[in-house]
Amino acid sequence: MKEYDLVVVGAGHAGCEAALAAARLGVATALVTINLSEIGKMPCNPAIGGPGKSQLVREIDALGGEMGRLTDLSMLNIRLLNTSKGKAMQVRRAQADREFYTHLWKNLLERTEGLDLIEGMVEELHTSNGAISGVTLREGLELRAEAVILATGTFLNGRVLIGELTYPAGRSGEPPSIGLTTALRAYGLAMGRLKTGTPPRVNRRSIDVSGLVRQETHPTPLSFSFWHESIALANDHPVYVTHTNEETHRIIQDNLDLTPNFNGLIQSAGPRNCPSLEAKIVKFPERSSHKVFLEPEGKETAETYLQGIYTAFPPDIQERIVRSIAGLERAQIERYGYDIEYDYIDPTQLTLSLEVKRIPGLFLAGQVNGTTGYEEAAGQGLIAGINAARRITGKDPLILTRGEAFIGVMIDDLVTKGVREPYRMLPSRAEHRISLREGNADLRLAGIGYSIGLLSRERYEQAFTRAQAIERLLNELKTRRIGPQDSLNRVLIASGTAPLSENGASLYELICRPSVRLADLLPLDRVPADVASEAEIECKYAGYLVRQEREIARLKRLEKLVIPAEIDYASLSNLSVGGRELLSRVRPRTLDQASRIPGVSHADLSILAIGLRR
Amino acid sequence: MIGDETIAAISTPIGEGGIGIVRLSGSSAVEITETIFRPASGLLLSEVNSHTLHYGHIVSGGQRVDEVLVTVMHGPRTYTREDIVEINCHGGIVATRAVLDLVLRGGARLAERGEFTKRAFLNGRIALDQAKAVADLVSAKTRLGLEVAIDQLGGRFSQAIGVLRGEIAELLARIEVEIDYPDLDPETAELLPAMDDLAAQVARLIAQGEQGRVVREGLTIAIIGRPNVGKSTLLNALLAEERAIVTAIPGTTRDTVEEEAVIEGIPVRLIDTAGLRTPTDPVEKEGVKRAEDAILRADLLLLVLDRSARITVEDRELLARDWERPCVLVLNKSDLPRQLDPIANLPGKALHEISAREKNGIVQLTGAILELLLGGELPARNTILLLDAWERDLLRRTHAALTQAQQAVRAGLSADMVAEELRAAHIIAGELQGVDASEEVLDRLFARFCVGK
Repeated sequence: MKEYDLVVVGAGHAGCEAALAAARLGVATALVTINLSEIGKMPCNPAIGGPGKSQLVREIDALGGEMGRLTDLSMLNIRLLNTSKGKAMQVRRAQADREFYTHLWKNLLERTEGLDLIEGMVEELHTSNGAISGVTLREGLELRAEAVILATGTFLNGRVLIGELTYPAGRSGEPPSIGLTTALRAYGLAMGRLKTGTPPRVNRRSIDVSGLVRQETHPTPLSFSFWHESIALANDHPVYVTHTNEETHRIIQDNLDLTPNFNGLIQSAGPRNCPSLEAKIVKFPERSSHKVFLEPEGKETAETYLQGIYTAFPPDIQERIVRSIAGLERAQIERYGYDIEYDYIDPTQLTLSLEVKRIPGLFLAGQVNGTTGYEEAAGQGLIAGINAARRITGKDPLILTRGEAFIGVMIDDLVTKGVREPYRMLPSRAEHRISLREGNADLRLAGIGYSIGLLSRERYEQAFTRAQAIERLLNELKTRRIGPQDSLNRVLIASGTAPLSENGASLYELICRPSVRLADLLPLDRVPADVASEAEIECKYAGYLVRQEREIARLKRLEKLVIPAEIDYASLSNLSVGGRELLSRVRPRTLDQASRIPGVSHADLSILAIGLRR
Repeated sequence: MIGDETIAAISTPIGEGGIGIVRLSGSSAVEITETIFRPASGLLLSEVNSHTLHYGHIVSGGQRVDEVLVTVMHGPRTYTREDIVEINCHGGIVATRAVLDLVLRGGARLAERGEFTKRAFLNGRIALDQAKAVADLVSAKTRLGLEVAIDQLGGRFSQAIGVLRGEIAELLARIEVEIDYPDLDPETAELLPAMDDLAAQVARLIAQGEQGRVVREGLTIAIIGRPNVGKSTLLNALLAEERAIVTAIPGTTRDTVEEEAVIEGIPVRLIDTAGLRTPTDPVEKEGVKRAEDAILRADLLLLVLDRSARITVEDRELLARDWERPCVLVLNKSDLPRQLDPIANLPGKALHEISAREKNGIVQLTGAILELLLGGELPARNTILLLDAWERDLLRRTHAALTQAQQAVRAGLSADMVAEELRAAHIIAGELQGVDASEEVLDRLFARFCVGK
């Protein structure tokens, strides 16, 4: 038997951030994983970032997590997306070297004081007086702990499907975790089943890229982490784009009864965000072509990920599908695509700190909560790790709100609404997204990271200095006026906006015009690009930012209306039957959270508000 | 929910008493009232003492809307512990609603049901048992027939606004999909025509609401028939049945009388017309003309025949006429022996035997009127019923948000800004229905676009 403060089960993206954060906060932590060689693994495509996800990575970085920094150290290429959709929605996305990323994580965790890595499979959970007290491994080892974080991904009761073959597995080639599922059910946790898919991987040497579109890496160095200089990339591992065609679609149509997605083997909900190719073709028959991205998996491997062809057809059909596509006529498949079904735990059973309501000390993070994506997992892992450590050291949990972070939006969505399909973060889910940009995550969250003891003083001061620089530049823009000079007016007219009148204008006023850029007005060599770009957004989006600030302030007041944890909804006799059931299940922390539970009416909320200060 | 917004509502239930009170609570209550109130004393409301009463007029665009008494009460010695203004309106339901309308345009937000009490409670003004009593009322109210009727009527509005909200979501999904999924090849279809279309649709709904008399004044019912069939008696019977006269408006001629009442929870304007027959003198001619005007204004006709008399030529003319609106046939004087000839071939006309004098059959008649209304046959000329200020307020704000979105597109603002404006419109349109906005947009997005990894 061994004693720890905290045991983290699973060393994927959630488990790694959780264990690292907790250990750094001074809590004796054990990280248990089925396979120590697969730490921080990316079983799907090795891409990190993108809309919604980039914001998560940058927030993790700002709070003191590591996903961003390790991505920077291992990426093969990086691009800036959404540049034409407005500056507030710009995000970065990188292709990471899968093996190297795993290697970096293992290295970092092994060097962390107060953190033990243990290979083994957790089979039992122990409680004492209703609270968690430890786990026992299949190998017989018992680990005592005050808190346990389950970050088991798709391993709970996992089942791989390919064609008509199904076999129990946590991921392709790895065993599932059956005992733990049984243990969780025994504790009365409500569980559901979800599915996700993977595409085939082919050998890069067997691809003919000559006719394909090449996506270049960003021309200037770009990174996820706020805390170090961006590293220049060689642009030698690009992504290529090809397309499916009518022949591909015919092969799929002719063989639909051979895929578990359509032969009845799979009943669970798959992610709409990540549909199988067969689902796309059945649902959108009018489309004669779908995009396929050929993504490099690493420097030391020729494996190439066929993003867009998520499929579970038998191998011979997968072969025909792949080879019908331009550039892949002679592709050699190294790994075949497969679907995986797994148990998830209904996240409405969690508090906003990710603790299981009925088992104090037990935290859940990542795909086990019904999410999909490395970034979503890492964000939850970080919060679970922080909160487990804070529980052990007797501190209040850290709860990020919807107005503070995408992480807050995600966790609030999960525990308030639950999931119907694997939950992916998307910008459209975040109502305050204009304020919650990837570009200001450090300004928003470094203070929190520092105050909870996870972010160093040096980094906090770096964020503070940048905030000051932005403020100074904004002041300058507001106070500096410019007259109707001919050269300027020529630029204004050329960009399709009115020339200045005799009164002139402040630089701030000019930048508020849609077609005017800060760079047109000021030589930008004296301000860092990340300061100029934030200041420009503050000008251009001022109206929206003010609106969202007002809304966030309103929410803050509502968040103060805390609902006592022990409230008895049965005693509020005027609640509607449906409203009472939903409130009893979710047990919202605040009136504000209650207002977001789908199905709870205005009248229910009024009655709840009135009953609040009993 | 609770905020620092100033809220307003009519605090006397529709159809109870002749005075309607518009109550405002919040930091801008006095300021908002000041912009529309002209006190006879000439004092400024913002300078008067707390807990004082002021006589004057509510004005809009130079026009007097109503003669009112305004009470000014500064917090915290008030029900909600916020500043409260109460405007006591005297012009009946129409005027009270007009005053509420002005207050909402002035910047107040329509209070949610029970919100004054909620504020009182949350500001520590009242104790739980007091609040609970109000809460009982809040939930009990929905069981009342009036609420049920209004809910059913509102169903049609709710449907229309639901369709509208869906269309905004659809439009929004077209923008969101490109933000959420940058790898998608953008569709080139322009947003502006669809936006213009939506804004026009909302404007139409608002216009219908403003014009539709049923909307604000309730249902207009004209009682017609030749002289001496008992039209006035029927009017009085209908009024007595409900005992809820709101106002009695004297007839503009000696022959036409209009009364407002609440029948089965629906505000109703009853018009007792002059007898319809070929006029013989100028005065009668004027009366008949007024009656014809009343018929044009009516949503529903009650055509009264005397059951105790033989049918006349005038009766036959009235029966044969195409009134272009629902018509209920009322055979009056059922307490007397029947003399009336059997009436055949009257498709589409419901038939009721009553005795207005003995008040027999009146309940059945009002029930039939309600059924016509709920069944969607009334009012034939209004495609939609706007029943209260909630909906009008909501439509106005939706329209404003859509206009902003149009302007954003025209000004060449980026997709994320246009999306912000549309999101605002979508959220407003969904306010009354408690829809999960982000899920609705995602549902549309995934249904329409082939996206994903």
